[in-house]
Order: sequence, then C-alpha cells, then structure tokens
Amino acid sequence: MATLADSFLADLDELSDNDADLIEEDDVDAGNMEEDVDGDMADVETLNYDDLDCVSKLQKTQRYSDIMQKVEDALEKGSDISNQGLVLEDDPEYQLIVDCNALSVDIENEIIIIHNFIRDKYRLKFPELESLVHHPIDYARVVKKIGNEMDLTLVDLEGFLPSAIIMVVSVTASTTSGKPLPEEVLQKTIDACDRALALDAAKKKVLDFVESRMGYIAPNLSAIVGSAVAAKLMGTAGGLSALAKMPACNVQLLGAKKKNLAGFSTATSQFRVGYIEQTEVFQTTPPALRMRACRLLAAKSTLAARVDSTRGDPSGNTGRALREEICKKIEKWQEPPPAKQPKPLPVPDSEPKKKRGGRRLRKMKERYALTDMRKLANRMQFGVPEESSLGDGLGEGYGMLGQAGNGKLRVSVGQSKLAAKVAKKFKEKNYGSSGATSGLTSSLAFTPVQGIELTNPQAHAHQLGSGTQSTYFSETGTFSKIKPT
Amino acid sequence: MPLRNARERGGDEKRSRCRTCCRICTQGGPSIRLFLRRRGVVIIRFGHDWDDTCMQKRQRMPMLGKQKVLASVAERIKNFAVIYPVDITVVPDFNTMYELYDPSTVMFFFRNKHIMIDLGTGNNNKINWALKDKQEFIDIVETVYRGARKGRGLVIAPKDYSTKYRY
Repeated sequence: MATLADSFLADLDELSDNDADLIEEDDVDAGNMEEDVDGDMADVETLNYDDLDCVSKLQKTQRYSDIMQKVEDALEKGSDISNQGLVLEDDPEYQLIVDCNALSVDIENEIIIIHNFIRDKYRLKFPELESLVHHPIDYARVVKKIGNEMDLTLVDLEGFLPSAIIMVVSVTASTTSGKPLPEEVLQKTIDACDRALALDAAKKKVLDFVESRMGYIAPNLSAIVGSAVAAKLMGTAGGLSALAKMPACNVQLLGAKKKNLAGFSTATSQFRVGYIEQTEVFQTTPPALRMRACRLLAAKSTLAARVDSTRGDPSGNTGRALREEICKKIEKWQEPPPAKQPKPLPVPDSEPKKKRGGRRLRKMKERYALTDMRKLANRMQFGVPEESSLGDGLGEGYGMLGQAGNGKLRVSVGQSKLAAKVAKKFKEKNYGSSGATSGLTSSLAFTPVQGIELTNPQAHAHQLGSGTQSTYFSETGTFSKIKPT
Repeated sequence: MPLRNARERGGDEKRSRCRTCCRICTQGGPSIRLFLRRRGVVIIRFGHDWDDTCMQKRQRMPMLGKQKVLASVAERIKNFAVIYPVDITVVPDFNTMYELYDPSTVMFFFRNKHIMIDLGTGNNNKINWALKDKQEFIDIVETVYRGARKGRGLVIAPKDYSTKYRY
C-alpha cells in the first residue's frame, strides 16, 4: 500500500517538505558516493554493506522529531475546540495535521526501505520467510523473535501471526536452506527491526492524533466513514487535498492488503476493499451486498473529502446527508421484489401475429405457391364438362386444362422449385445402399455424337465431392428464374 | 353485497355474481341475458345451491369440482368471458327450454346468441358434467370466443370428450 501511495505522491505538489528531505538525503548519499564511481551501484552496495543509517534517515531528521514532539504535546492537551473561529489555513493545528499526513506517508516509505534491508540480511538465514509473511511490521517482529535460532520449536510466535501461518513457518524452517548469521550482521538486523517497530509506533501516534482532530479537519468525511477510517485514508493518501484528488476507485483500494494464501482457497478472501472495510456501514451490510456497498461508500466519501478539502461545509451536514443516502440505498437493495400479480389472459386474437416479410419469405412461399396449371385445373367453364383422370367424372378433374377458351396456347409444367430443391438434395446425398445410385438418375444419356451413351453414375458423385468442381456452374443445379412467356 | 368470509377470491366473486344474478332472475323474469355484452362470452352455469355453497356464506364447505374450476378460472379469463352461476331451483324458467336435468350444466352465449360446441358427446348445446381441468376449460372458452367472433354458431372443442366416462 505504500507503493500505491508512492505513485500518488508523485503527482502531488504540496509536499515541498518531502522534496526538501529527499534533497537532504541525496546530499548525504552523494557524500558517500564520491568514494565510488557509479552512483547507482554505490546505493546498492551501501545497502548491502553499510549501516542502517545510510538507508534510513528519517528518524534523524529535524522535521521528524519536531512533528513527533508536537504530536505528543497535542495528544496530552486533548482536543481543543476553541479554535473554530480561525480561518483554517492559519490554524497551527491544521498545519500540524497536514504535516502529520505527509509524515505518515514518509514513515511508511521508511518502513518499506527498512523492511527491504532486513529482508536482504535475513535471506541468508531464512529465505522463505519473506514469501510467507508479507507485512513489513509482522516480518520485523518475527525476525526479532527468531533471531539466530535454527530450531523453530523453541520459538514462540503466538500472537505475532495467525496460527495457520505459524504452522507453515515452522514447517518451512525445518527444511530451510539458510545458515545462521554472523553476530555482527545479526545485530544490525535486530537494530533494523527495532527501528521499524519504533517507526510503526510513531506512525500509530500520529494517526491517533489525526483521528482525534478528524471531526474538525474533515467533518463530512468523518460523518460517513467514521474518524478512525477517515484518518487512515487521509494518512495513506498524504493529505486531504491528495485524498480529494483521487478518483473513487482508488479511494476504495486505499489500505487493501495483499492476502497471504499459503494454500488456502481464494473463495473466502475479500477482494478489492481497503480501509473502507472497517467502516460501520460496511460491517453492517449483509455479505451479498458488500461489494456494492463498498463502491458506494468509496464514491460518497470521495465526494465528502472534496467538500472538506475546500471547506465547503464545516458543519458536516453534507456528510450526514450523504450517509443517510447511503443507508437508504442499502436498505432499498435489501427489499424483497414486489409480489407477482396473477395476470388475466389477454383477449384471444387481440394481438395480431407478427408476420414477417422480405425476400427470403417470398422465395419460401414461391415453392408452395399455386402454379398456373393448378389454377386452370381449379376452374371450370360454364356449361362445358371437364375431363377427369379416370374418365367419366371419376378421378381428379382437369378443369380448364386442355379445353378451348382458356386463353393460353400452351401450359407447360412450370419450374417446380420444390421439386428442384428436393432433387438436388437427393442427388448430392446419393441415397441408396452402398454405392448404388438413386432411383431417379438415369444411366442413359443422349449425346449428339454417339447417340445413346451410358454414363458412369459414380463419376458424378466423385466430382461433386472433390471440391475442385465449381458449383457456380453446377451441372446438377437449376436456373434460378424462368420467365413465363 | 360481496361476502366477507369467503375463503377463495374467485369464490367470492362468483358468489356475489350469483346473488346479483339470481336477484335479476327472480325480479326480471326469463330474459336474463338481455344485457348484451359487446365484448365477451357469457358463461352460465346452471346448478344447485347445495352443490355450490352458493348461499352458504358462513360455512366453509369444500368446493366441488366444477365450481372450484369456474371460480379459479373466472379471474384469468375476465377479459373475454364472464361467468354467471344460476340456481335452477330459484329460477326454474329455463329448465324445460334448455333441458336442465343434470346437477351442473354450463352453457355459452355470445351477444345473446347461444353458441354450440362439438364436444364429441353427442350433445352440442352444453357441458353437463363436471370438468376438472382448468386449462381445458380455458381452452374451450377461448375456442368459443374465437368462433363466435367470426360468426360461427358451432365451434369444435379442442379436446374430444366422447369417452368422458373413461378418462
């Protein structure tokens, strides 16, 4: 989470103090680097071999001690409400709080640096520990406890870590490839651990102070998420303005921990929630709605932070209103759906069927359309008896077919699309048993040169299946349109 | 007056209709269907009180087959049909005209015209047994509605009841 803060810090321009510090540190480093040729390499080397002091300088700076002193004084004094009349920027307490925010970010960075230092040194002893224990402070505590001990059954890690992790650590330690450290290195490592823990304690103090003043600094934000979480958010973001500039999705992730799996399933791990998880509103929502609630909270608290950063509403009413809104929304989500009303049936035939149209439908209908022949057969002339298939009025009647006066010179069997389609399909599928051709194909062909020719019916089948035959000029295909003349 | 202690809504509606209907019958005389309905089928069920629990508002008698079916269906088909139960002991005027000798008889009318249904039983005028299935009854009513709207006097029921005694 400090790395996240790191990237945000890069965008911010209000931490001029920080810049000054960095310049300070760089100067000291430069002093060391003059001994070595390559600056970058020197840093790495100094990290490896030199003292902790070259790496972690924060505790030595004046700024740090000043602020810590002030914080302690302020904490002893208790909360001071009387200074509400002053404009915020002039208030020395407000300035202190801004400094505190910046400091807490710095402390976090320092802790990371120290953690790296400890890790590098301790790798010789117990390399697997860094992947089992992620949190820098936990790591520092564990390292301090274990020290140079090779047998972990003698070390009591209760209270430092969850018991499952302790088990894994003990098991891994029994098979570790590390060797005990030399006394000097061990001492340095323990020193570094102490320093990390001291910094952590300082950070806690700073946060406590900020939290106690939270209602004054950011009333709206504290109204929504509570002063503790508000202080943490501000601390991680690096100030109220920094928090206000963040998009809500980032606010949601402030303080999100990297979960240590060690073989546990991911099904239960809560995903993508940071400090917001600790708010009262979040804790009281049912688990199914938690993700939605988290997003909602982050969004509204970002709004509140923006209001606070411009001191738009010092009374905190906006925050309270937003909190009401959030609670109402969450309640609404939990409402059961409205009961299903039994609907009466609609009147039959009141909703006309949706008829489709278009070319495709027309072509489909054409296949079953009434042909001219059939039309003629359906009609009869007045006074003229029709012919029938079996003669004498028996069988199917032919109507106007073949009779004079029907206005057509010749009626031929029209192109029956249905038949053509069926025939084509039939040919291609080659129905019949084992190589024998369909009953519809004839093996006789009348050619102009040779008269009657016997064709090999198998030849056609192969041609069709080969894929080289072009189906555009298919021999079994039909014309697509024949105009009646 | 709609009855308050009715257990079933459909029953309540039916019973209320029954009472209004019967009142009309006893007051107005034979021509109860003179209120021409423009839009729907009029279903008249000729039966007896003690079968129907029609008049027994306070007692909770379980409803028998046909009555139950009609009660539950009334709500669903109210857009195109309306059901009127008539007690033939109170209104005996139609007994000879329609030959109402069975415990329950259902007849269909559309715009004051009697619609016949070919059920396969031989008697196209009415349904004179207790139809158990709700959906079947709805289907018959829908068929009657469709046919009657087109002007047909006889419609063909979707299901054949010629073997009705042997389901």
